[in-house]
Amino acid sequence: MPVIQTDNLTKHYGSIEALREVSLSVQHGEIFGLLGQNGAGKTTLIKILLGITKLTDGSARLLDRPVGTAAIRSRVGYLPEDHRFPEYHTGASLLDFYGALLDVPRSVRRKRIPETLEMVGLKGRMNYKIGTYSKGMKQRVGLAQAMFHDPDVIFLDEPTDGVDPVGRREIRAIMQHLKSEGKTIFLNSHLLGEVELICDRVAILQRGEVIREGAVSELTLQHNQYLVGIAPEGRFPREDVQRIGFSVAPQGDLWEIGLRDGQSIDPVVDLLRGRGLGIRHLIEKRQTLEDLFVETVEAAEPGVDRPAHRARRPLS
Amino acid sequence: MKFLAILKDSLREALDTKVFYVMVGFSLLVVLLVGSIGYRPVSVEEDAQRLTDRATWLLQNFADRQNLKVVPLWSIKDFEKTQPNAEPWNTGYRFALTLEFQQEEEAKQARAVQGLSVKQIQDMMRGQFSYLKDLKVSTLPPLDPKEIRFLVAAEGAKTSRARDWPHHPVLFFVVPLTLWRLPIQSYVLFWESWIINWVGAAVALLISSIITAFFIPNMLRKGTVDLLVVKPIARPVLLLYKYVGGLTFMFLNTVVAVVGIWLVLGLRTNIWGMGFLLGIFSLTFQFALYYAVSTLFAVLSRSPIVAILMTCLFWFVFALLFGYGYRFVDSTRKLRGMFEAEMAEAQLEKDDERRAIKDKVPEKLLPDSVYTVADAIHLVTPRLKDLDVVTDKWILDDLTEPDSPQRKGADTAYAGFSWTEAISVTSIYIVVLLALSCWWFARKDY
Repeated sequence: MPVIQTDNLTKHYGSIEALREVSLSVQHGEIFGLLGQNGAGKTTLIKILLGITKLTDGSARLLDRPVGTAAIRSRVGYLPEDHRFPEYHTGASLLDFYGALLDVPRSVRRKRIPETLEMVGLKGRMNYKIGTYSKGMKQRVGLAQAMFHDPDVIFLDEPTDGVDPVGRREIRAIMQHLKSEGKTIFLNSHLLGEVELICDRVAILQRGEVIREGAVSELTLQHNQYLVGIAPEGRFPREDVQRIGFSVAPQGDLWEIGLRDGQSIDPVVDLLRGRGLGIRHLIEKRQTLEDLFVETVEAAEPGVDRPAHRARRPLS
Repeated sequence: MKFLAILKDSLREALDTKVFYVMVGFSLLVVLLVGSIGYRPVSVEEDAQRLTDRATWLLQNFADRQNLKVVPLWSIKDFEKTQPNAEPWNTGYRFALTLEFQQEEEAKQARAVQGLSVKQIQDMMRGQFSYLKDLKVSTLPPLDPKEIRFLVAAEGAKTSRARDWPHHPVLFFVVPLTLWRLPIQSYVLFWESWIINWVGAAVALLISSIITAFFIPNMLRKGTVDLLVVKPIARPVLLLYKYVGGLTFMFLNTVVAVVGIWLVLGLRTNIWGMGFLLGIFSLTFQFALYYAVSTLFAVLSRSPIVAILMTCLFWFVFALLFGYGYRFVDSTRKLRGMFEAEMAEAQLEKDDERRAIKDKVPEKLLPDSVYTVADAIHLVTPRLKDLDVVTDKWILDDLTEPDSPQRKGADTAYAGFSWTEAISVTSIYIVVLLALSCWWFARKDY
């Protein structure tokens, strides 16, 4: 049973169609990444799933119930993108306040506040006013409040925004930890490198429509292309490989071998071994998520002029 | 738990912005000011001395204008209390009023030509010592041919209670303000009714409306509201809890101010009227209406400025325009009744001339259609001024006797104001405004 399920979900703001027939499914224990340009509808989708915004058409279910019901909200954690925590709270009092709204018993709150803030690296500043926190610290306290009540699903909208590289790594570790505890995480992020590192599955949203969806490993895979490297003392027999029907192109110290449909890489391996060359590197080529995203979206950000010459990023 | 959490959050917000401290500090300052004023009973001897000094001064300075040929020196002699150790209001008084002339002939002329009669002196004395009972003046044989002597005697005071006896206010415990000599309950009435219930309440309502107008827009800011509406609490409940948080702010401030003033006034005057304390609820109830207006516009606009402006507009239209407007119209139909009460207060009911004027006072001043329209508007508009009036009435009921002219006057003036009606109509407004706010908040996308 999917934790999150949308079917033909549509949202209109007056004449603007923010989401168009979005159908998604997120399974229990997954880290799911939602990618898209600014204004693609990512935050709208999250807000509909959380009941903050109402859908126009279609359906959306969260934890096997229609979205927006109070009963499921206690099982959901949320870190909004442009959060503004009341600055008169301290980190500890904020968690206490939100915990009380989530019906977390007082004794549990007392125990869990220092634990949670320690997890996000803020225990030492737990009694300082949020107004004195840096942007990164506010992100951390935001993450803390999202997971404070031990929710089943956590929605994180740009959780590493404003966080330094070390902090980002820590936040990724926390997300991995949450995943290991069986939590489902729904992640919105522009940092595609991070999404690639942490997400099991992603969907790309463009102008309110899902244009790609799947496992990260599948989406980034480039079929029929291999990277081959041989021992330094040998010379790669480029012409011989081409002669047996493969395309060859240098890629730094490696060689990119192109296969036609139905072809296997085995003849190339046999050729190299037959020549007594040591094979040091043989992998099926993948592209980065960022490459995939740029290729997929192919359109300028809505409302922004398209560059005259969009440079194609080199394959690594 | 959720209610307490939101209440605590509202309090934390108010404390953080220091406004709560400022408001409570301001209230305590007023309490200190009221507490720093003492009340000293008027001494009949001093009062008599002041009268003679004033009379002498007036005669010396204005004798020419009055074409007075002679100017006597007025003085009090042989002052005595019939019960020397009793309180001023529990004893009788006797003293000699002496008018001393420079020549014997002047004294004779004064008696004969200027008609300085016993009745004149007695009227003057009764005016000055209006708090004494059965004050009588008779002539005394002069001890010196150059003087005229009167015996002034009063059996006792009109009251046997300290609160009805005239007092001088004493500023900061040491500076007596002898210009004022009013029964102590009049000072209490001044503080409770005028300063706190009218001026203080208006100031408190205005400042509290401004301060609390920020609470709900702050809650509805992008990035803040998202975090609240995803919690398992219905949006209308969330809004209502926040509303109650603002009300609590006002309630606590009012409690500090009213109870503080009630305490210091009680300690200073020994008058412990409970009606003034009921003003806490009346004031909070009025604020509940203003805050409901503020809440509606805060939810609609998410702007504290709009909320403040609309609340001020509401106050102007309903409290000033309709409230005072209706009071004025209402008073014109009670014209004769109020005139009668005024006459009674001034003890002029036996005055034939006044009675003649009274008969000329019309029952109503305006055409009937004006009253019909005014009553119709009054029926469906919030009773902000009525609530003030009701509180005022409570205070008056505590401080005045049922048959006192002041109470009768208030009864006549406030006859058309109903406590039940004021509460009911105002409550309906609060409910409707909050219902609209909740409806909008519940359906809005954030």
